[in-house]
Amino acid sequence: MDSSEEYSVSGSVTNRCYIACINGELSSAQMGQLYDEIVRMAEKRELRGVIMDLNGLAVLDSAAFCVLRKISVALALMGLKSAWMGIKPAIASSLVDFGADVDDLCICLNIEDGVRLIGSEK
Amino acid sequence: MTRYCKNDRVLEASVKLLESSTFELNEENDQATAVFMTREMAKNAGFSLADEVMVATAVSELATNILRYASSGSVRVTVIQRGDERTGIEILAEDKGRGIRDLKLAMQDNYSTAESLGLGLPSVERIMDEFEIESDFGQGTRIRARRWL
Ligand SMILES: Nc1ncnc2c1ncn2[C@@H]1O[C@H](COP(=O)(O)OP(=O)(O)OP(=O)(O)O)[C@@H](O)[C@H]1O
Ligand SMILES: [Mg+2]
Repeated sequence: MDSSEEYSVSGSVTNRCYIACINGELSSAQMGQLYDEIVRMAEKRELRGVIMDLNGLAVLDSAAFCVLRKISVALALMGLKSAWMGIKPAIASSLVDFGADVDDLCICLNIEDGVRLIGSEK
Repeated sequence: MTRYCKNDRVLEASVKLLESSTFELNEENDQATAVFMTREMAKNAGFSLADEVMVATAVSELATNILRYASSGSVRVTVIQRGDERTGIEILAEDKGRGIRDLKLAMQDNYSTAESLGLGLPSVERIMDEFEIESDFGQGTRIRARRWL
């Protein structure tokens, strides 16, 4: 399978925050790549944090949620903050439906808000 | 063979099948196709955006499980109708993988043999109005689930 370059995440860096735009229907293998990509990026760029923009995500199942969570945990262990942005109502209700534990996640409203949260003291 | 049903109710037999698509699952991209097509079918059947996403999420969960635990299998999505004309969507997920030894356990929140969250199957049960899972350990797994409009 040659999908190594096909997963649709695009990113840019502002104020030492990496904004990862995640689009489409991500399969679990692609989520694995996303994990590698974000963690590698975080190390290389001397980032302060990562904003995960989920607005383009059509469907989020529990395996995909688990990977996103693991990304946040890995980043935290590297001393980086992460914020989730752009959770659409339909995705929010699936999260509620599968009883996902979202209490310790940092959710932001927009990029500005995310940059501020990530830049703030712990 | 063992079986588990939501609310101990087996699926009603008398439903009309209106339109159906089967998606073979062999690699990751097949899952994305199945999820995308399910959304289209649910939308065309009259489901609201929220319901459409939920049914697609259920397909995504089942497809993830098939690829992860059985390597391959299929998901069939059907627009169905009951005697009282109520429309719904039925998902049939089948594989000939290793099967599930203890269905009760697999249906519990947070039970996972893959260090994942273990929320897939229980969330599909919650999302769908009717849900039935059958498995022959060592032979495969078959799940049927319906959501009514
Ligand atoms: N098609 C299948 N074939 C064999 N075993 C399965 C299948 N589907 C699920 N299982 C077993 O049932 C367990 C529970 O499945 P469930 O989808 O609820 O959780 P998970 O896949 O482990 O985690 P999550 O879905 O939250 O990422 C799995 O860990 C696996 O052992
Ligand atoms: Mg699962």
